[in-house]
Amino acid sequence: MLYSESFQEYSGQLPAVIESAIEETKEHLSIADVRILKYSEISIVIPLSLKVNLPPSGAVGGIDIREEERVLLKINLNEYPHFAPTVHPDRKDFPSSFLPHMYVQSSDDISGAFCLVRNDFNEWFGNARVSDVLGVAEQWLFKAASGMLATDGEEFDPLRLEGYKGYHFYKYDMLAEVVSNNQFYNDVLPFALLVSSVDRSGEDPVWRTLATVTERTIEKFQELIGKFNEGNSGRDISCLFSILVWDEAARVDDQYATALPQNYGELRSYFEENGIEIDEILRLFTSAGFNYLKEVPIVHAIRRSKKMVGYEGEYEILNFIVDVAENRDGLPSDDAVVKFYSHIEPFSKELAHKLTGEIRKSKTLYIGGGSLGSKIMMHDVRSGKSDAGVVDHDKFLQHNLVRHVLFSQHIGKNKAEALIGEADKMYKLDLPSNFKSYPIRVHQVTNDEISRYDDIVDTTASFVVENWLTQGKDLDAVKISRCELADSGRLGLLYAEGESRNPRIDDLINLTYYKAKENAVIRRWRRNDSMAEVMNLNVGLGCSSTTTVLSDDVISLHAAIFSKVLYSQRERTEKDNGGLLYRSIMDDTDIPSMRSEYEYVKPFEVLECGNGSGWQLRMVSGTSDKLLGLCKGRKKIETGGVLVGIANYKTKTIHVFEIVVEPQDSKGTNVSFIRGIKGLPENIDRIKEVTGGVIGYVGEWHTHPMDLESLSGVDTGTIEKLKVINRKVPIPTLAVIVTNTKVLPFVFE
Amino acid sequence: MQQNSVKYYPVGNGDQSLITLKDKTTILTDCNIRQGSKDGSDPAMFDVKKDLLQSIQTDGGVPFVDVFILTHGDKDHCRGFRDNFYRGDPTKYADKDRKAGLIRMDEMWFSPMVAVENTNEEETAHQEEAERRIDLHLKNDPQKDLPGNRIRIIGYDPENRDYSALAHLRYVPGSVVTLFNNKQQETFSVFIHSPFKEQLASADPDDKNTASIVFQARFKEYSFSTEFSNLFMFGGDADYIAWDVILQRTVRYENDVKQKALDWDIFLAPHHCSWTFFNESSNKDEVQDSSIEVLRYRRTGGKVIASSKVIIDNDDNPPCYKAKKEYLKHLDSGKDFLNTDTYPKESEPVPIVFVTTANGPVLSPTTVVKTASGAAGGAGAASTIIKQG
Repeated sequence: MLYSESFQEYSGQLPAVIESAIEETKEHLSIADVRILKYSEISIVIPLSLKVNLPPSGAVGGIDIREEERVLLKINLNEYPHFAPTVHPDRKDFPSSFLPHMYVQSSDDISGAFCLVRNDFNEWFGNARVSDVLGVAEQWLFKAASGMLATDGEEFDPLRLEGYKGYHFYKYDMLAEVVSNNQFYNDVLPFALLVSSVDRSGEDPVWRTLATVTERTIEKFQELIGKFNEGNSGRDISCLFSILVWDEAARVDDQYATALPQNYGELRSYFEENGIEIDEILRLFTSAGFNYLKEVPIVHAIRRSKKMVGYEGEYEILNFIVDVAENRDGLPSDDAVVKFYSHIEPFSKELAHKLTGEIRKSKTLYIGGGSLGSKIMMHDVRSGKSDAGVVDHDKFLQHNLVRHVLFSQHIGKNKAEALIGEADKMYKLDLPSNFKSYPIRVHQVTNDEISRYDDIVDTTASFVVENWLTQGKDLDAVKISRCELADSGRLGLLYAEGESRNPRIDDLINLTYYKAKENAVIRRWRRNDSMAEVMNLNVGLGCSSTTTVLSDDVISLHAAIFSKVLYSQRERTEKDNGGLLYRSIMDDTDIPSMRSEYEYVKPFEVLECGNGSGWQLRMVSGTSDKLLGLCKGRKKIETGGVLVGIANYKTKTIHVFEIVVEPQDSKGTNVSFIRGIKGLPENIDRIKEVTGGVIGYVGEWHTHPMDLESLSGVDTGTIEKLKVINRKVPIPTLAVIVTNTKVLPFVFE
Repeated sequence: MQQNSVKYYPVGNGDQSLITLKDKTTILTDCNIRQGSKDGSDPAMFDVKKDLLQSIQTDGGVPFVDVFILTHGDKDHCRGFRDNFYRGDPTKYADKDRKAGLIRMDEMWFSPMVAVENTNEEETAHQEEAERRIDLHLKNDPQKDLPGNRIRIIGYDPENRDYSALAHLRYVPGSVVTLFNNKQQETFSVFIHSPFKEQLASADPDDKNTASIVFQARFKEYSFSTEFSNLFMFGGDADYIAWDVILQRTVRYENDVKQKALDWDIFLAPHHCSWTFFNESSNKDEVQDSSIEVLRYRRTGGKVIASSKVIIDNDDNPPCYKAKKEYLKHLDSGKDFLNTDTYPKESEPVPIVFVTTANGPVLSPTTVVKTASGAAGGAGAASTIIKQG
């Protein structure tokens, strides 16, 4: 028996494009002519015979696949070639129920189609021809006969649904656990009760299932659902109970349903075949007052012999919605409509981990919800991070649309709240999620709140935040990173602190400035920056200003690589290498190109000042050894020079990156040292120039080979003179005494 | 999941077949890479080299086969060896070798008996490479086990060679091999039938085809399976005399029962469908009983592959029309006799590919479905002179 026997010849005019497809079909199959049959007002079917190579002992598994297999090529008259032609078995006894990769039959007139490609078939056909479709169909049949249709023999391929009416969202694992453990609602009948909602705001209703209900919790849920529905009367979202059923004997059923029930009568028979008395369950459901709406979702779990493809369990779950608007004795009539829905796994940490191949489990506080921060934060959130906070006191304004992840509906809202709101929505069914917004300034965030997090990512490019991070107390347990864009987006800078906050964020930022001496890219930035009209040394991305010119794609480029680097830094388990300086560099002189460079920075040497000034000296690793070496090298003769670095009054920190040894015209004796000037101003000016005026002279150093650990009278006098000069900059006056064993800093404001 | 497959290349009167296992291990038996097949200009001449490079794996950019088996040294079994396979120290494989598409043979299967009288430069090159590797092993060179230095000795040594120190590398007739390129296979093995210890008389006095390596490639569904689901017989150029000995010895040692060593689903007709499988080439018409006996080991649905030119009703041998007719007598239908140069059509032959299934080998469809959004011609049209009005 063939489906094609019931169709009439098509007598209408065919579009040229379909005529051409038919010619191609004939050529592909080397046949002189084909019959064209009318399937519906908008479709034709063409009966064809495809040759199948069979194994010598017949199709694997005894499947009834034949050497000449009759198929129907179905073409949509109005939409071809935008809609791909589908291929269906013509034989009514084709063994569809034993084969994966077949769509479920949606009409009695024709069998379900072969599922020929993994992704969107119409999309695939956009680059293919009808002969390709036939070629793939031939391969489909060959694989069916050879036992190769299931691409992974270790897993069970799910039913291909055609004609489903919408989606039912729930966590597969949650339902599979209920089913595997036979967690029935009560001892009376074998079913579980689920708390669900339906959203009718879209074209098709969307069902969501959140939790299971037991006899112990039913009253509470009934009360909650009643209140919710009352409060939302007339709105699109309602709450309700759903039914979950399965065979309590856990019998394995590997048959594929070739057609799903269309009405309640068919549904009853369907469940009877699966050992489930749905009438009794529905009667109890209605009589207990569990029915809130005109439709009841019934979810059916079928045990397969292998793990389901794409899931962690062996249960395949089908979703029905039964129309119970009219019922007698608690049961709908046999012709009550039954629709089936496709399951969608809600977005969850687990799903994100699976789809990204990454586990971003650290708890992160993002300081700054601007364009860069929002992108980095959303990369994390999309990758499964559901424990995050955003600090931003600013509002999302019209001009932010140009380069922010948020859209226009958030205009006027606080950025932190809007971002966290979006993240929360993503993980709506993934409880618990720990997203928190802080619509305040960073210094207003309490230590208790900060202690919730494993790491902080600062994207504010703000001096204030840099200083807060530098001085921040109780931040020792938190890994701090900072990202910013410089040089009109050509340079992305990421700083990640080392173990025990050394190197600290300000060490890394200032060291980067100093590296302009040797790094052309940084030098270019520093020079451009010093020539810019906006005089802000700590240039990053002040995106709240409408004067900032930078495109969204450039920020995204850097944000993406920063996200990746931050992830690798957070999840790094091997021994700490120190702090990280990472630079993403865009060259836009011709075709834009990107490259990256990075270096690890050893912990800085930290010295507290000896005169109780509260200042701290932070020197790049190895500086003390160099100074001590210089002292020893000159034996009993004093020597000295100047120190190159940067001083910060807010944090009372002086960074030292370079020691300049005594100029040629200097003179040392056993008890004194006269530091000359030959070549020194030129040297310092050059450093200031290449670093954009940021790095320069910060102090003096000289040796006390006789190991005097305090300032001499001469020293004190000199300091007084220097203080006058330095205040003009302004910088504090730093004098470092170097003995044979110690480096002793003294700072005076 | 990748399937096991066996591919027979269309190489005219010659042999080249590639076994590919699920774990991507490749075993190439013989080569016949004709220069004319390499520019793609003649659709009737399949680009064997290009397909081979696409079918095998690479190691750091170096294309390699896990095992190369030369059944014997006739030119139609090793044509193109010098130009297409890398010879020498594998650590010195250079950029120029990569550009030339030289294939590294991680492990060679070499029969000293087969090579005793090399008759052409390709065979000489093969023998030199084999002896280079053997020397490394004899000297216990630390690099002897590197891919590209590995070797297995098949059969026995001729009078002028003594590789007795390399007994651990030797497989003699009756051996079942499960180790290929140092990888242990659980569902695939090879049963070695020949060459034998003694040099046999030949059906063709000018030939040394009796010394061919003959083997059976066997696939099981699971490591614990007791039955072989797919059996492929590779007959080299062995003639009826050699096959008679194979038959007798296999039966004598009960390997026909214990190892199913004579059964076949796919039988590569020896010597390109030559009459020498059935009797002497000097037109002795009667068919030897032993040859018929070999064909009777065919299992349900068994097929014969003639790796040869188109077989037409004339006096050519090989391929021999009379031999084809004889094979057909033992097959279910004409569809079970496949000729490499006419598959699926003479004007545009492509390799015959079988994939293994639980129910035996099945022919893979020849339709190629494109995966890219566009298509462009190769050198075919561009290298063809056309006249326009």
